[in-house]
Amino acid sequence: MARNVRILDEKVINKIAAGEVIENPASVCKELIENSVDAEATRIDVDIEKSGMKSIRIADNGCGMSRENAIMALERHATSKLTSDQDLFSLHTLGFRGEALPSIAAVSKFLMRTAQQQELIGTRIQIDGGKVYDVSDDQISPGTIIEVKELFFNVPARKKFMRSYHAEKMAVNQIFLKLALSQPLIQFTLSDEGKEVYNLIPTNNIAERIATLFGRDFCMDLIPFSAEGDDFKFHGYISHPQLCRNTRSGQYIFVNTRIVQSYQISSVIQKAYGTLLPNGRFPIFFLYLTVDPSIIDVNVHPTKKEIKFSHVGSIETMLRRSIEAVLKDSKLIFDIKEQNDELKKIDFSYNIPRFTNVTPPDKKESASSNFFASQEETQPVKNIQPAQNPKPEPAQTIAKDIGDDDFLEQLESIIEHDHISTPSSPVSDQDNTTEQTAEITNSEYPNSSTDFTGIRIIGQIGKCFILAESREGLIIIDQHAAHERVNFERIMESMHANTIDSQSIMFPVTYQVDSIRKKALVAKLDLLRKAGIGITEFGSDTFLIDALPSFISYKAVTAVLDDLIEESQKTKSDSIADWQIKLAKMMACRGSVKAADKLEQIELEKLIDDLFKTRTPYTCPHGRPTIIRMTYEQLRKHFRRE
Amino acid sequence: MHCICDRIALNEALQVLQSIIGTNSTLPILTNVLMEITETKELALTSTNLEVGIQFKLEAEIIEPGICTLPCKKMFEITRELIGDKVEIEISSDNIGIIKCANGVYRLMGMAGDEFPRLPRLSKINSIKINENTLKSLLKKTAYAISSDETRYVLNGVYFIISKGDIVVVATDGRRLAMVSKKEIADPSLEVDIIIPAKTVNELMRVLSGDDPIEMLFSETQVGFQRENMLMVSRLIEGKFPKYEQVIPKSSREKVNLDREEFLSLVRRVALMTNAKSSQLRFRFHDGCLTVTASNPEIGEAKDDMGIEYKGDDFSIAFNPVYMQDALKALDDEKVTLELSEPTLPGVIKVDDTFTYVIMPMKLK
Repeated sequence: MARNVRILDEKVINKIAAGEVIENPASVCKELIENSVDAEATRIDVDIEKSGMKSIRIADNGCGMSRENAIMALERHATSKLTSDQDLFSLHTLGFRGEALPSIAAVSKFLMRTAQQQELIGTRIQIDGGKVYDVSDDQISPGTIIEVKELFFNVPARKKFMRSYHAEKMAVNQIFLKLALSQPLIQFTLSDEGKEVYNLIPTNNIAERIATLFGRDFCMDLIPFSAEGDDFKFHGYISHPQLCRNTRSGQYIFVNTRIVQSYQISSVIQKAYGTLLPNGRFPIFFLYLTVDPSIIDVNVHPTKKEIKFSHVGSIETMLRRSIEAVLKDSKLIFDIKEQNDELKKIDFSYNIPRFTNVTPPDKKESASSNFFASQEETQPVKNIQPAQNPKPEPAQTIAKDIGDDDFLEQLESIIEHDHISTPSSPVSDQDNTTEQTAEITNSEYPNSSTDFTGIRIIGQIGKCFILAESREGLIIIDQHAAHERVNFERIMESMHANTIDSQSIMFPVTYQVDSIRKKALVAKLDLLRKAGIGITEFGSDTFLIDALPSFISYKAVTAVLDDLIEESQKTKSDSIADWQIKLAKMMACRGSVKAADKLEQIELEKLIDDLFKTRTPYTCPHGRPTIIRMTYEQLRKHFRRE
Repeated sequence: MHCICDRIALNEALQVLQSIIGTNSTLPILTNVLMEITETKELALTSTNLEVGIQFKLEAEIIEPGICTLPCKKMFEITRELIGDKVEIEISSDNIGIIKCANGVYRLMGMAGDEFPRLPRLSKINSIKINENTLKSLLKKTAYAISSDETRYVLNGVYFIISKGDIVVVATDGRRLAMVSKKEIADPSLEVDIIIPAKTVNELMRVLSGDDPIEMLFSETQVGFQRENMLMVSRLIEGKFPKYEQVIPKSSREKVNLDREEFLSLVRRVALMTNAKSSQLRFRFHDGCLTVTASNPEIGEAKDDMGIEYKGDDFSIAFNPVYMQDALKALDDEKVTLELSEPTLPGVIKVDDTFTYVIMPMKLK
């Protein structure tokens, strides 16, 4: 049956395009909020109902559009953001394809109301499923309001693919969060079913915005970093290893304020953490990268989620170095969290942002139950008073505006809830409070004052943990993890300097292998010898071990070989450096004291002493914590001594 | 149970008895001493940590036989502090010990004696008699080489052999091996080879003193040490001790005679520049001189030497200083011989043909 080839009509094209760009309510929000950002709005209000499936309303105070432009904007590939193909490679706006509006309008009941600054009368355009319904005059204040109702009402197939209300709501939340993080100078509000969930005041301090979105406690575990190169610069925050997640969901990358995903960047940062994180755990980070638009290509995918760099090497190197440096300088002791914090962690692992909810003083008794409330229970946020316009120095702004007693009380209640590292001095006056706020928002990393002098060992418990007293409180050390860290660094150093002790042994150990395992082992003989393990082939399926580093026992060495062979079957990497690290980890693990090994006081002291001399005493080479602590502050809290 | 005995003798016995008691035993009764009076005129005192058990038999004036356990350490402390020559011990029916001495009266909470583990009976016994100091010296020259690596448990004790009338004691941790022998001391028909656990060896060394003979009792799974009023019984380590003879080099290229004290002092000095990260000493033998060096990137370096009679080739070998010192410290001879062949082959410290110490080299850096 022959059919004629035809050009598709506009409606069909728009629906196809909508399929690419508009996946769900969250992508509608993303496109529309980005338009508002491009329109230089300073305030963007988002309202959703039924997780956006019933209605999404985005209102901004941006530049608005003339009637002519407004009608044009709803045409496919109509955009004000691009004039020639050259512009495509020097983009300064988030959008450029001119697809979003017509795509959304094609699959929803769409209402746009817009007015330009100088015009008295605005425009109102109503479109149903791509068909223009009505164009008329409107009376609104300058800016644009777009309402998207009954999304996908005419695309039942797509509608079927929507996830649960909750999942879609979370997706909207996530995208809102990301956009709010990308544009701290814009005031954002989000309302769900008429209830205000977020009201984010403009700030030029990104930590302030992070704190408002994720809570002050969260911010205490963030470490700032920044650097500048020839044609790029970046700044941001990385998390203390105790704040890691089991997905990459806590990783926010903004390139020229655009939200992007980049496996490349993500893995560079992961590498910078080195042995601070266990396998399968990912740090949380906020990276703001500013690059010359000409070195990136955003036009990889219609949703612009991915990005390509024309040359990324120097950025990667500098990023890694900068993060390694701040991690090295930070004290990364793990805290013993209170139960509420555990809850918070679970929340994060399910990727649900916790809403900072500071309740007014008269409702104080309900504050604790709401503090970690899930979204459904969330009360409208009464946040720090929004400043109307972004001001250059937010910390000082707060200082100026602080005369308000109400605000002070709210601030105190924030501090009261901040149980990770509330400053121990009581809040005495306004200036003091201001300082603390500034300190927190600037993310002066709170742990950096920790030092390891004056540690008194209390003893070993459960033949597994070492209790000790430090200036800040109680610290608990995992003896195996600690010894592993000490041995790991010792082995790595000796391997690099080629000075590892290799002690000949009297009764050589034989190690049996099959042909596959033999092949794997033969490839690693040089590596093993460099690590002080004297190993030679001895017959067809046997190896002979006749020398060992002094800290490894006979039995441990065969375990190391088992580990090594197993690992070489899993990993394809041939990098010698990688394998040295791997082998050092295995030897450190097998050569270290185990849980259930009884240690004498003098051994405990030696171990702690050695541990604090290492470069990264906070985790074992596999990224598990070696030290956890409970500050006197936390202890006082537990014993209700406040 | 009710008796009167000599305070000093009781206190001395308790001191030995309490030394084997573990500090945190899971069986509370093991912190007690078992006190037993049967029909005879003796008070029997027993303590055990399930590996080693010790029993003392003291002469006493028996008033009433019986059995009970009392806290060993407390008993030791009380009898140490008491004033008076005779102690009267009476146990009430609810296991409370009443200790009277001069004007003092002490009531001490005890436990019933029924559950206290008894010392194993030594069956199928062979025995030899050996001077206490001789046995102590054999143990002292080997015990330090016992391995603490519990994964090779056969090395966690000394290998004690009697063959053709000679006694040979061997200990090794796989990196050095100490062997000491005493010729023509036992009945030539007696053949024994057992592994005595490190704990027992250490306890024994503490107890042994003087020139009196002690009787060693050998059974299938136990070894006993009997002297006048004391019996120590220990379990043995089961398993096969590695073939140590194969490790001892049959010949050597170079033999160097050294003054033990001087050599030990040299090793000890230069070893100050080693630590756990880098613990190797380099021994260089050259014309009439032994030069020892250590180099540690964290601490520093050292070089020192001593004059020796050496005419062979310029030769260097590396050893762990701890292993070297252990043997030299345990010896009391004036001279030792150091035998060497290759930098990759073991070195041997010898004293006559009674002491042999094999020490594995380290890879030269």
